[in-house]
Amino acid sequence: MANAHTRPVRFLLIEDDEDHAFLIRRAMQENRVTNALDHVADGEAALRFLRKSEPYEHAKRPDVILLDLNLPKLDGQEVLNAIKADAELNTIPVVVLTTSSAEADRVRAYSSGVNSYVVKPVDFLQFRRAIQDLQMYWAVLNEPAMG
Amino acid sequence: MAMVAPGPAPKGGAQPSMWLFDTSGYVPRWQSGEWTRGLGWLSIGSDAAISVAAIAFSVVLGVVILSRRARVPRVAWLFVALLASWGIGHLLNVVVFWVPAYRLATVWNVVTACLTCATLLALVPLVPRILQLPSLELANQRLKDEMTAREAAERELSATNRLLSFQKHALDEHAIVAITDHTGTITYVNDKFCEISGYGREQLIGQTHRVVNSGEHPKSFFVEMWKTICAGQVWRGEICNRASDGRRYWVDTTIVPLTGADGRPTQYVAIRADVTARKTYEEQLAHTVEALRTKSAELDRKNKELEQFTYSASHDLKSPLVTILGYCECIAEDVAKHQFDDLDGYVKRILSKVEQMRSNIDDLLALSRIGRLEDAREHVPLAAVVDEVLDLFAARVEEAGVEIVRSIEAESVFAPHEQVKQVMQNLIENALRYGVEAEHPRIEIGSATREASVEIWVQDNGQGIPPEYHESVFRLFKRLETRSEGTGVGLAIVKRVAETHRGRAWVESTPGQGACFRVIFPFAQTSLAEDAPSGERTYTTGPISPHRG
Repeated sequence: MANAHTRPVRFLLIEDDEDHAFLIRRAMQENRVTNALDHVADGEAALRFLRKSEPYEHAKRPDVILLDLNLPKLDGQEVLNAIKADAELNTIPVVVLTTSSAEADRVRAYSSGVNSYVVKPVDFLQFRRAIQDLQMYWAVLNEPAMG
Repeated sequence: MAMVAPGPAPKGGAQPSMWLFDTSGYVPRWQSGEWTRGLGWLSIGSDAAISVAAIAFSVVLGVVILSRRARVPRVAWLFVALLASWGIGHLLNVVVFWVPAYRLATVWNVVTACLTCATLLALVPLVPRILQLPSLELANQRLKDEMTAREAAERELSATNRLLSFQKHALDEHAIVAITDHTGTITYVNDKFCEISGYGREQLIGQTHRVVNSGEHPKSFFVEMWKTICAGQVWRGEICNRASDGRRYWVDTTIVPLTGADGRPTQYVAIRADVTARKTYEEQLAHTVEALRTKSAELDRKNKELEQFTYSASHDLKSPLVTILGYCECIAEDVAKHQFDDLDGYVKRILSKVEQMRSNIDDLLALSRIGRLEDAREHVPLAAVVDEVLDLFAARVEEAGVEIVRSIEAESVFAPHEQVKQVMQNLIENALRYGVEAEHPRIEIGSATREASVEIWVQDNGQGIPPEYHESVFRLFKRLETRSEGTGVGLAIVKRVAETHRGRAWVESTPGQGACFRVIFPFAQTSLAEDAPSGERTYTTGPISPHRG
C-alpha cells in the first residue's frame, strides 16, 4: 500500500455515453482509494487530450486509460491502435470497457495490446465491482510505468 | 600366208595358195598302202558321215544362238566354229582318197587343233559357273514355289485392301475426315464433312480450310498448328468452325501428317469429331459457375451485413439496459441511505433510456420490413413524396431558416410508396440534422434519369463528412455526432431500400463543403418481379431480416 498514499492515480475515461460515464464516476467515488478521473466523449477528443493538443493543452497524463470500444468519430479500436502506435503513449495501461462480449472484439483488443478487458455487465453491482477492482488493481498493486 | 609347211619348198614363182593345193609328190590315199576296197569305203563313209553331221550340228547351233534374244556366252560361238572345223577336216579326209591334198588337210588340222585348244581354254574358267547351274527340275520347283508365294501375297493384299476399305467406311461413319496436300489445299472430304459444314464436295475440294474459318481463334492458334504438322508431328486440338449458313460448330481435331521419303509431309489427314454439344454445356456450366460465384459473393456480403447488424443490435440494445440497471442500483442505494435529492434525475434518465430502446426497436422493425418487401410496387411520383415529407419537417425548416431547392427531373420511381417516402424522409431529416450549420443553410432535393436508372439526391451545405466515414455512415446505429438525437438507423434504412431494389446508396462529400447523399433505383426490376408469382407481391429475396434469422 506504499504507493497508494504517495499520489492519486489518474484515470482517463473515454466514453461517449454520458450515463455510463456518470455511473462509472459514481462507482469510483464510492471507493476509498483517492483518485482523479478525466472524461472525454469521443475518440478524437481522447487523442487530442493524450497529446495535449487544443483544447486540452493543460491535460495531465493519465496513469490508466478506460476505453469504451463503441465510440463516435474514431471508434475505440482505432483509438487503441493510435495509442499503441505512439511511442509517447504506448506505456500507459489501457483497460477496455464495453458492452460487447463479441469474441472478435476481445481478440482484436488484446492483440492490439490492451492490458485488461471488462465487459460492462447488465447487473450494475457487478459492473461497479469490476470498476472498483480495476481501480484497486491499478492504484494499489501496480506501480505506474512512467512518472 | 606365213605358214611354213614341211616337205620341199615351193618352186620358184609359185603362189603360197597354190602351194597349199599343190599335190605333186603325193599319191592319193587309195594308191598308198594296201587298201582293201571294203576298208577304204568304210573309212570314206564314216569320215563323210562325221563331216556332214558336224557341219549340220554347227549350223543348227548357230541358228539357235542367233534366235535367242538372251545374251549367249562367246564360248558358244567357239563351239560353232569348232564343229564346223571338224566337219571340214573329216571332209578333207574323204577328199585325200582321190586327190592327195595333204598339205591342205594338214593345215586344216592345225586350224582345228587351235580351235579345239581355244575352246578348251575358254571353257575352263566357266566350269565353276556351269557346275552351279541348277538342274531343270530344281529350277522348275523354284519357279513353282515363287508363284505360290506370289499368289499368297496377292490374297493377303486383297484381304488387307478389303480391311482398309472397311476401316475407311467405319471412320466415315464416325468422323469428319478431310485430306489436304502439303499446302493445305483440300483434296478429299467425306460425307460427314459436307454434312456438318453445309458445303458441297465440289465447293470444298481445291479450297483451304479457310472456307470454314469462324474467326473464333487468333492467328497464332493456326500458326502453332502448322508449325506442329509441318514438323511431321501429330496435332490435336479443338477448333470452332463456321458452316455455310453461319452456324458455328466445334470439332475435336487430330491432324496426322503423311511424310514422304525425305521426311517432309506430303499430305495431311484431318480426323474430326463434332463436340458442339459438349462445348455448349461447358459454356453453360461456366456461366452457371460464374452466377454461383456472384451469388456466393453476395451471400458473403449479406453475411457480413448480418454480422454487423447483430453486433450493432446487441451493443446498442444492451447499452441503454446497462444504464437503466445502473440508475436502478443508484436509486436503491440512495433510498437505503434516505437520500432522495437525485432520485428525480435518475428516474428521468431511466425513462429517456427506455424511450431510446423503444425507438431503436421500432427502427429495427422498420428495417426488417424492408427486407421482406411486402408492399406492392408502383410508380411513386417523387414531387408529391417530397411535398409530403417537407410538410412533416415544415416547422424545423422554418425554424432553422433552411432554403429548400427542388430539381425533380425524373418524375417517378417504381417501388413501394412507403419505402420511397422513408428514403426521402431519412435523407431530408439527415440533412436537416447534420447539414444545416452553415450561415445560409440550403438543402437541394433532386432526381434525374441516369442510364437505366433513376437517381435521387439530397445535397446540404453543412460541415460535410470526412472520407473515412463515407461507408460507415450507412451502418446500423452508427452516429458521427456524440450528442445526436438520431438513432443511427435512418441511413441504414436508405441503403437497405436501395439494395432491395438492386440499386445502391452512397455519399459524396468534402469536409466543410456539405454532403450529397445519392440513391440509385435501376429500371430493370423484372427479375425482382419474376421472383414472386404475378399479382402476389411477396418478395422473398432481399437483404437480411432479423426476424427471419
